[in-house]
Amino acid sequence: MKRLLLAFTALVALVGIAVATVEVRSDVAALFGEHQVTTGALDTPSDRLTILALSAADPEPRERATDAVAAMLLAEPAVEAVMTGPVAPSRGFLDWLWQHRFQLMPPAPEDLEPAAMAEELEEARLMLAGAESLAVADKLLTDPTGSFARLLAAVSTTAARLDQENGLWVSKGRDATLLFITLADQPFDAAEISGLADRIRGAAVDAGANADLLGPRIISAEVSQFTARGSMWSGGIASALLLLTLAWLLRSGPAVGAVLLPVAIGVAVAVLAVQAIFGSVHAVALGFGGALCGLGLDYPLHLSARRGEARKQAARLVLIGALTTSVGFLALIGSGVEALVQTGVFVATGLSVAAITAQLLAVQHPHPARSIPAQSLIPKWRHRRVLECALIAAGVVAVLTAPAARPQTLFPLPEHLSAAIDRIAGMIDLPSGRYGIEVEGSSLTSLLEQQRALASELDGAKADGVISGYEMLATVFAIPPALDSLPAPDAFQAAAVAALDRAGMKPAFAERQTAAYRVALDAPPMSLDALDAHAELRALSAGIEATEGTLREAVRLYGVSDAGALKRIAEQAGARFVDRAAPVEAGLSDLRRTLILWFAIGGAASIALLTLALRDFRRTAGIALTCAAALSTTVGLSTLLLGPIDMFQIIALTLVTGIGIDYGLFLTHQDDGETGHPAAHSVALCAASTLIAFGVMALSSVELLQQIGLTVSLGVMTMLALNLIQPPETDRALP
Amino acid sequence: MLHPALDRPVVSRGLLDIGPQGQLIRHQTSPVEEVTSIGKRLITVDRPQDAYRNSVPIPGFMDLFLAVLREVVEGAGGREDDGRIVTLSNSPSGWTVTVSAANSDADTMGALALLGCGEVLRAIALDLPDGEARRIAFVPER
Repeated sequence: MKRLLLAFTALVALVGIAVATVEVRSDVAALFGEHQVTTGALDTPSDRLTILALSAADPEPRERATDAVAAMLLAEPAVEAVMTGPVAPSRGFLDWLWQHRFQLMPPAPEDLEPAAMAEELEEARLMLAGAESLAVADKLLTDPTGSFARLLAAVSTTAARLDQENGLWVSKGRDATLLFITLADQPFDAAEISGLADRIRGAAVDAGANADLLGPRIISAEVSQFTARGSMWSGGIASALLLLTLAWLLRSGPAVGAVLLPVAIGVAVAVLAVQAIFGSVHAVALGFGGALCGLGLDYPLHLSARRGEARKQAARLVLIGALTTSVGFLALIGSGVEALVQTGVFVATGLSVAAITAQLLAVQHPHPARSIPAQSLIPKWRHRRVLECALIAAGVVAVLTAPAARPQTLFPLPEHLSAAIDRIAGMIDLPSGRYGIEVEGSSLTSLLEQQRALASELDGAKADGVISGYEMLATVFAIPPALDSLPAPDAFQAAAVAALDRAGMKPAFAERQTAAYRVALDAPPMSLDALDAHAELRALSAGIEATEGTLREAVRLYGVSDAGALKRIAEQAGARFVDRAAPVEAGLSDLRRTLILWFAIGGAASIALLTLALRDFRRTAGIALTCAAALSTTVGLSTLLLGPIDMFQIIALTLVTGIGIDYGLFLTHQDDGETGHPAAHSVALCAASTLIAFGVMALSSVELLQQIGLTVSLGVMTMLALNLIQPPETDRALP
Repeated sequence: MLHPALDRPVVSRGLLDIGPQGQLIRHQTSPVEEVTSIGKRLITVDRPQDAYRNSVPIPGFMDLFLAVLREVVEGAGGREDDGRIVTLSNSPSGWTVTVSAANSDADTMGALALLGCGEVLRAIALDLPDGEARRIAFVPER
């Protein structure tokens, strides 16, 4: 009891140190390396854009919900701006457009003919009578070239890409209003954004509508929170069930403490060790490593089931088991991927410390543990090795004949998010998230020139059905001419006088028109900052990325049907075709291959270490064959049920190997006469605890946890069945 | 409508009214027939004879002008807490009520003048920068 209290005190101290010193990271770069796809993710202006669809059968609650949610959003510190429909240009924006009209929409030479200018003036005079011209009538009369009028039309056409109803943007089916939210330029905080999404949904429901959200930050936050919540629920349920099961099986509080404390201390030391070595602990190492360290529960169970000399021998086997499993996990260091290297160090440290602590805390409990009749549940069959070879072959066949690998994703989207994305995709034409064409220029002018060259090719692609549409800066603005190609102010004034006279207006007004013409000619060159300064242009400028001396815009492509043809078009236009998913898929595929290689190396190293420790090649070969059969069966079944195994399942297989070695070690041990029923009894206890933890995980709503849980559960069940299918006494006689 | 480019004002005639959904409606009868509906968010112009319909969002700086116009048509009168400065001046030809935004930073089209004599409101005048001016003169319904 004194040892348990000391261990508990040590645990509290270790947890205290960990809480005070450990820094937890969750960056994806630790999995992929500093690749451009992941660097700076969620920090760009386009990452902060979010689409909100509010749907209701009737227009009235829809509009009410739109107003209520928009008002609520404007009071949110995490929100920078909300747009519910086309917005009239502000006076500042109109002035900016006016000043830069020749750079944005230069007049053609024929627009400067007196006859053409007179026509523009007559149209402007007609507009004077209407209320909608109140803001711009003077400018239309002052610019007879029509440049400003065309610019206004271009800007309003861009805004009119979406359907409208009562001044609100609506879905194609007119059953939802669409709001465009710009999140504040603050560091990404998953909990804050997820909370905002919940409040939006709540406000929408209160107003009688349903809300669907789509945007990079929203999706990341929701996936993160969904995974965290799912993990918490699974962890909580598994822990509670495990505790109840251990209490029922061991029938003593101190006995349960002696089983749990080694793992807890192992995990705490592992966290501190990883922090000390790497300067921080990655979330993958913490979550995944913590779960895998659960194997450490087996060590005290094996020890407490034995007494006297048998316990000393079991202690040796526990150490061998912990060492071989640690070697398997340490092989992850070879992958060179920081998060996985940390996981390897984490599990190796955690299991080694748990094994040593289990021995220090091993005490004789007053009540013997309850027995699990695992042996009686498994049918006996004398040709176990034949069965194992058959299972290996079946697993290999299943993997080789499996359908093509599913698309690789790091964290699969939860169903509710996939459904929301599908719904929004049905409401609005969304640009392809996968394909784009990057165009570069040293200034906005050269960027527009590059885009114009591409635009003619893309128009052809649209006509051929390769795409249904595209969007870039040049779809709104023309290429600014060299301003010296426009007539000198004196020549313009002469033409303006003639135009005013022709239109029946005062020729003297040409002086004011010429002054305005001169101001437009002398306007400073446009910059990206100037575009950013106007909310009306932010949707356009958000797609432009400025690096040292270069402006780059990814052209938004709609309805891509032939990526290969697009790639050729981009190359012809001197632009870069971008397949955003390709580097991620290639990265994950490389990672998977690396993991398989190091898993195999780790497995081989574990078996080599086992051979050295046991100095019994036949026994080691038997354990290795059983492990191979269980792994092959697990991989085969998992492939049939879920598709080709992913990287987290490969790491889970390392745990299955460690468990297999442990079971094999104890069930084939014969030195002290405890082989057979007592050994099967402790192995069954261990399997029960492992199956409870990973079985709960297999039932999780989080796909990642589901896959890991299913992999370990299948592996453990197969390993247990194979080890118990033939009594160990006869097993020993087999080659 | 007056403008420095024009020798003489552009004149339009019609009727101001409040629509069933509370929108301010301007039925123009000349120089061309058109209906302008001013709602919460949009100004919509309809010219059925030309199959022309155009909706534009209402710029924020028109809010004060449209609010005053609506109050005049509704006969509602202004409120005390509506963020406006109202001044009254008299002259031999009648009275002038000038309405401007209390917040000097507010984006408006400038001061509005309501011109009248006795109990009769004769016109609303809006003088814009650069010499453009608009007058809405009210005449009795026949």
